Amino acid sequence: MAGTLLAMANEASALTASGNFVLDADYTIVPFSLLVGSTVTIETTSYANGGFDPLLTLVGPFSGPSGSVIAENDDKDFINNILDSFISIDLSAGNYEVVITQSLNQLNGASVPPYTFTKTGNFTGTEYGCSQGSFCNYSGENRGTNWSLNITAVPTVAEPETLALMGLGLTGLFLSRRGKKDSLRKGVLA
Amino acid sequence: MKFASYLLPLWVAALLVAMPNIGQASPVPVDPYEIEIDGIPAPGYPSFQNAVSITQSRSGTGASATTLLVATHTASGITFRPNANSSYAILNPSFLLSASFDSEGAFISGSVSINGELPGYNGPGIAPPAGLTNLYLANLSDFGFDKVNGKTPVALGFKTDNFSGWAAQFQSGPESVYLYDFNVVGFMNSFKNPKLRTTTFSGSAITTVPVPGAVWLFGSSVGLLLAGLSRRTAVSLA
Repeated sequence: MAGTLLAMANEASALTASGNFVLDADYTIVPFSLLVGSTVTIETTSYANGGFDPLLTLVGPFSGPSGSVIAENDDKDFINNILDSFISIDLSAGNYEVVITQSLNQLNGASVPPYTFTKTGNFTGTEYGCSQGSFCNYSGENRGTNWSLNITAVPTVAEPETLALMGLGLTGLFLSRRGKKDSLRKGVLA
Repeated sequence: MKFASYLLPLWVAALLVAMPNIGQASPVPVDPYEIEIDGIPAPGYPSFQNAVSITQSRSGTGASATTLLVATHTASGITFRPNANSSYAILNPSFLLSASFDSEGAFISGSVSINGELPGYNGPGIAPPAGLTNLYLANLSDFGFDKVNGKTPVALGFKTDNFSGWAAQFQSGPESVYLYDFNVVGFMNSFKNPKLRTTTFSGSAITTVPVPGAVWLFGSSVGLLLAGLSRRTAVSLA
């Protein structure tokens, strides 16, 4: 599953992705790119729709093939049983990846590649147990194999435009002052 | 004004291209000697270095929950590095770091121990006796991780105190053990995850036991004395 999110200056962008796992320890990578610095919100919606308990890991910015783990979230609000994941973070322009796994199946390394994780096989069946033997949540409830997530990017301070406008203003000021001087000189010469 | 309007798109394009990724960490590998964590002594020489398996487990519930971190050596062994230019493989090695944390991730207590044999050791200090030896044992007295704004944390650090064993001859005060080259972001996140039972990461460890100045002074003065004596003998023979 792949996706591209291009946050342009002054434009919010959004990306939706979804799919299914076969094993508990499966993972999916959703890549996205930012053209400008943005506030990025990543959230799953699948737990609320019967899917497995997800874990989101944000990786980047990619320098060639390598990116570092930036953020991780398991539950938006465990106490109120909102087990969908949620990350909101300010990112600079660059290429990033969202890695989606089941809860507690964490990326092992501080960077990727390689994509290695702390769990293998149908670990939720072994660790939590449920009648279907996989895709069990921590309280032993059967869950679905489906996942879905939304990524939105809202550009932060549009610094290039601000600087460009300032430059434009200064140039205008410079030109108008030079124009005044020219007209004065012409007036003197006339 | 026409002139300025014409240039505007070019300025915007140039600024977009030039925008740097300020404050973002570069990918690993992490150089352990460049790790810096406030309040924890920096890594240095001599030091023990090894790959580790880091297990994080949680027991209890709510505010009374505790998290235990246990790091053990892997099949790749342990090396003792007196300085940047030499290293000794430890035979029959064992490394065990154990640390406990409260439900909020605050450090409670811990210890580190390194055992093994160092046959043929020819570095500074007294060589370890033959056979299996307690090479190093210390309490962990403080904990930290590099949480500099805008950077991805890359290491956990522990201050070592109350040390003993063979390598204690090198240490004159508090030093450090660092765990690095693993998902520190995920590890720190798990402290507050009530669903955590047991999870295991693969990483690296560096345990520093620096030679105090007096040992270096003594070693270098003995070396100079021996060099001077051999020169005098050579001169008298000539």
